Amino acid sequence: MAASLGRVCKFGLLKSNYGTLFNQLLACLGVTAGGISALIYALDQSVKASDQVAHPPNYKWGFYGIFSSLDHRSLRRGWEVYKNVCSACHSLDFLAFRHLVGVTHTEEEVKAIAAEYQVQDGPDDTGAYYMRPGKLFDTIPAPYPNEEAARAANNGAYPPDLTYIINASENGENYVFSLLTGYCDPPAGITLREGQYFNPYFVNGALGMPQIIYNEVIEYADGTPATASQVAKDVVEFLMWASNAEFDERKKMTIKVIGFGLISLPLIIYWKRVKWTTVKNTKLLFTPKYKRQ
Amino acid sequence: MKKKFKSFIYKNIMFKIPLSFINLPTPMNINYMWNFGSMLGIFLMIQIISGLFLSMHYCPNINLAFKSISHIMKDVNSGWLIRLIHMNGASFYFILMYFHISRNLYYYSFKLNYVWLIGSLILFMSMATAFLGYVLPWGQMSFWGAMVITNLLSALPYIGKMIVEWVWGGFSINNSTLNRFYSFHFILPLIIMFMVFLHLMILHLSGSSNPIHLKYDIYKIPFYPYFLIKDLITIILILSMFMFLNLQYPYMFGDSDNFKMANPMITPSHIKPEWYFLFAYSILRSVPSKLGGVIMLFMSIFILFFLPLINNNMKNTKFYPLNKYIYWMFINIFIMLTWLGKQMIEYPYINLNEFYTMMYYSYYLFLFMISNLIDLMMKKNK
Amino acid sequence: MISRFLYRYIFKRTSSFILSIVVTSVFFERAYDHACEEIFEWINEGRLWTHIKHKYDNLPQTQSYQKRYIEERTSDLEEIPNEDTKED
Repeated sequence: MAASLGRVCKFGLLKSNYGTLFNQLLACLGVTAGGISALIYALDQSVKASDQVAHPPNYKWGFYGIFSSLDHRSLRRGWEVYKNVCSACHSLDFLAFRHLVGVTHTEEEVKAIAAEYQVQDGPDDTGAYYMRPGKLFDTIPAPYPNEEAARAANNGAYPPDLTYIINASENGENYVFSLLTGYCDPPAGITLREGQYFNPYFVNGALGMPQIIYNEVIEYADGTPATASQVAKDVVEFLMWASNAEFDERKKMTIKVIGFGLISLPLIIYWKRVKWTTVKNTKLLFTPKYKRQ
Repeated sequence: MKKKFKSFIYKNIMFKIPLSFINLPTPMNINYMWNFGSMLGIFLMIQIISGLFLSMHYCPNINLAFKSISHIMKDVNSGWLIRLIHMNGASFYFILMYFHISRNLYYYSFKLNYVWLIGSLILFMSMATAFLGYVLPWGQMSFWGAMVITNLLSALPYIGKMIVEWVWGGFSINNSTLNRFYSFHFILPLIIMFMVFLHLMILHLSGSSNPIHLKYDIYKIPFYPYFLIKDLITIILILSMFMFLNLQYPYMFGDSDNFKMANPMITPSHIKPEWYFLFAYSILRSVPSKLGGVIMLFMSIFILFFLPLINNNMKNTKFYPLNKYIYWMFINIFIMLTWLGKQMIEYPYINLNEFYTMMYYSYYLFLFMISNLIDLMMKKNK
Repeated sequence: MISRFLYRYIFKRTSSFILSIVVTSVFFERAYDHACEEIFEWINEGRLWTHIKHKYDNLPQTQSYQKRYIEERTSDLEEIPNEDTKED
């Protein structure tokens, strides 16, 4: 085959046609990468269908736009939800009260919130540990002193820390929202132990957490109607902030980066073309030796 | 005085690298595929500098590592940015590295033997560094990734178990493991930087290759302004893309399990390394024997060291249609292996794994054979 | 005229050229940052903390944005009581 190919193409195989080399390369690259990624995408989709878990739908979150920040009104409500509902079982270990200042509450408000908690401090002059009201620099106190206590109180299930829960699961915000609102009766054939509740979005379906988010489960201070989906949305947005404290900053910086690219790239491309005109227009002539005299 | 100064500058070997940014004779016909080297240099420096700043706040201790990362993300001024840059910078470094190597394979740049050998060594050391760095946040995937990779050493006959415990610094992955990984993660990039200097020095002895392998010096133009500006275009482009990724999808390349603190009691359902190791990981998994798998895994990188043995008149893939086909097939094989690496070990994937692993190694075999064949054919046709 | 001035005092000597680059970059950066922040606040109208702060803050409003925000809202509100009185 190789020999016949060589006979057909002859000298053409050795031709350089440098001008189109980059284009050809790019075309090959494009075709390869495009074809392969399409194949992989198709394969990935087919893989998803065989899973045993319900896949959460993608909701239209307000923060999905490339420049969209988190909604801080929602964050403020989300803190209310966490404090009144979630904090009974779940900790928020990596957040301190001071992180809330300037995000959901003013400094005075956060000081008041912190003072409601009792925090262990010490040792004092006599070497004893004592309880004092929380201050801004304290981390948000956990409901249970340790994992064993948490498991003992929850039928052996461990309520995970919520600080990074959104980042710690695939498609986090949609997953947590679906999980909170997706409780339903178990289908036939699934038996649950006592203290387990059926949720199609959880890996085995049997979740240790009961449904806790209902309509009017709490009353918002700002008067927003507390429907179940509203409560879930607010707490997910709050947890999104807990996982990504720099979220708004990132979105703001995106504007700067895009602007920088838009300004500098055309300038540099123009500069390059200006400098290269002499090279691009150079004509190289090959004169054989016998003609050179 | 001025003359003396000038001759001192131009003759001193210390100034060779800085001066090469100005007056290095560069082939005028090299295309944009030759820009990856400069981008890699930029990204290596980004990694080293951002890593230095991270090390000022990071604690290499199993109780504090995860918390200190959280502290960097939430409390340190712009710490989140430095951390995201360092995290995704590694991914970009490897993307560019793979492009750089595949360009070299296409244009047969391994004919510059010493440059190629040092470059392969840089790849190998970068992989080691990236692996060590992935362990440092002490998340679930860090811990279990370290567990899987260090356990590979136990496949060595007789001394395997001993070596694993020696590497761990104990009988399990523990605080001393994390501590020594941090030390090595700090020192290796500096060695890589030194190797990059060697890479450049040796490259500049002969000068860059070019797409059609011309060997005439009259076609060379100075580095400044032509190539400095040309490099600047791609640098600005890749940095814009890099920052956009950092700011919009910072955890796209990462694994969500790494946001859980390492817990030796809970094994994640699905242990997989970072994406740039996936091709090697699927090669490892395709071999039933443990020792065989480890050997194949290391050979998948070490085989690059044997490429300079190809000693024929071939100039580059462009002129050899069959080689072009197997080259693009190889690229596809690489992408498919990367994809297969993150799949479960079940029916279709395990068989595909074996098939593509065989294809991966046969590329290097065919590279010898087909290029020699066509070479012979061309000689006959003359 | 301007180009001659620019050439004589800025571009002619490398030192003055570099000095001008440094000085303009300082001002450009400030202006660019401010512009980007304005765009960001305009896109996320009413969603950021600075936009809802005045509801919870008892301190006198010092930021210009809050003044503007309140004035915009109160100018709308003034018309409603007038209509009410007319109807009565």
